[in-house]
Amino acid sequence: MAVDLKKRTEYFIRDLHAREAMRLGCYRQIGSTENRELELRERKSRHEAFLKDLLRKRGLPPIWYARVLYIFGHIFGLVAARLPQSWVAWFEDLLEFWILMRYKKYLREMTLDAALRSMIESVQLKRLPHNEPAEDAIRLLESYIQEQELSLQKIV
Amino acid sequence: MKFTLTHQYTLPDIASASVAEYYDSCLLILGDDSNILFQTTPEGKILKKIPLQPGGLTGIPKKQKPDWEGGTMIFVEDKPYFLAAGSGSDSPQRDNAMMLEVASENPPVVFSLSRLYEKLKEDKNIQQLNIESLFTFQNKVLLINRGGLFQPNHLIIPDFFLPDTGTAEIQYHLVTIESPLIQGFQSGISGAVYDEASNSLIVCASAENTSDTYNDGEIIGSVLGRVADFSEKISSNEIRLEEIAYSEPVLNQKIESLCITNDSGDENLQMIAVSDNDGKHSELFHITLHR
Repeated sequence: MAVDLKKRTEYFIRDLHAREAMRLGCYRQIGSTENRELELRERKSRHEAFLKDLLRKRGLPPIWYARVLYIFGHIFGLVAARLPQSWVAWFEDLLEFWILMRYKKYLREMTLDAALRSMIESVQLKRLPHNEPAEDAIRLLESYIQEQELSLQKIV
Repeated sequence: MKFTLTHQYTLPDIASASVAEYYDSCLLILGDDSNILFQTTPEGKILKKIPLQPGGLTGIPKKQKPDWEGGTMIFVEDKPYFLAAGSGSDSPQRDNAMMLEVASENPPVVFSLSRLYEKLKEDKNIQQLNIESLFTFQNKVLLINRGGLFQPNHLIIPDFFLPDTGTAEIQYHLVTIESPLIQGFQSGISGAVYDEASNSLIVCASAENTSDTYNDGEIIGSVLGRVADFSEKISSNEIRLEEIAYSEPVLNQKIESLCITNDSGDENLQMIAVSDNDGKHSELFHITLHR
């Protein structure tokens, strides 16, 4: 068992950024004026920007597949714009649910890593040279989860 | 898959050895009734005694003993740590784990596993908690609850091996592992190690003439077994143990722990096993497994 807390946290942020970038690409193509699409586009844009900011603070580039997913999102958006609105709405709900599950999974991993970190520091009798999983990433994920859950409750 | 016993050593100063782990040409050995971690050569010569608590003791009476039964090495941020856990068969004295940074002089940290063990005791599939083995698989620490007459062995896959300071909800998956009868007595798994090169779980199972997990009985013997293609089977609900062998010198001992000393990926796997002979001297076995 070999754990690198810094690399793991960085991967979680980069992966979430790539997934949000895909959704953003998709909404930029759908181009609907419906309230829901506008709200989702605004939310994805904000999520992507804040995740990118976490990467910038850590001096990290987006993960290699972020660009691929972004382009894929655009293609999907082009196709989705021509589909019946009910199909698109159904698919959006599914994507929203999937990303919520992903946020929850990574938040749990980061919380457990924070517990492991505190255990390691108590064994080493000193702090680790980095502070991952850092508070800024954990707080951001917590706030996204709250926001996603609220929006899914509204749908239900 | 066969095995050969290459060497056998007696450990005159280490009683009730129940955990053995190999790292950097040294063995780390813990006795189940002791609060001293022994660092020895692979032949069992004591190099260092590390007290787990101030004034570390050996020969602690059964009622108070920490009952260390499982241990493994973990690597965090490229540093090696030795992690050991109590059996959980009596609370709170057997509900602890200890962690030691192997390459430093820092004292080990002992922490409580009560949250995890309480949760496991509430599980209706586990009638008696008796954690006997700890091993790492991929990025997880896995546990084995020893079976017996009235319950099967259980592989416990917690999503994290948490100290009690953690607040996250504990989640785990249980897998039943059947172990064979030895001379008509049901054996229970007492040690396990994952061999990455062959994707196998190597286990030792021993049988005693006793009906519960708390009291020792007459030692019947031990058997080595393995679970091939372990990574594919771990998500199932039941795993069958493939028997490796009985061997006379090992058969009449209670093998408590196994560790891999040299896994070059070729057809031979070098291992060390320790036995706890309930009050008599512990023994050390150098074993070669032929894949």
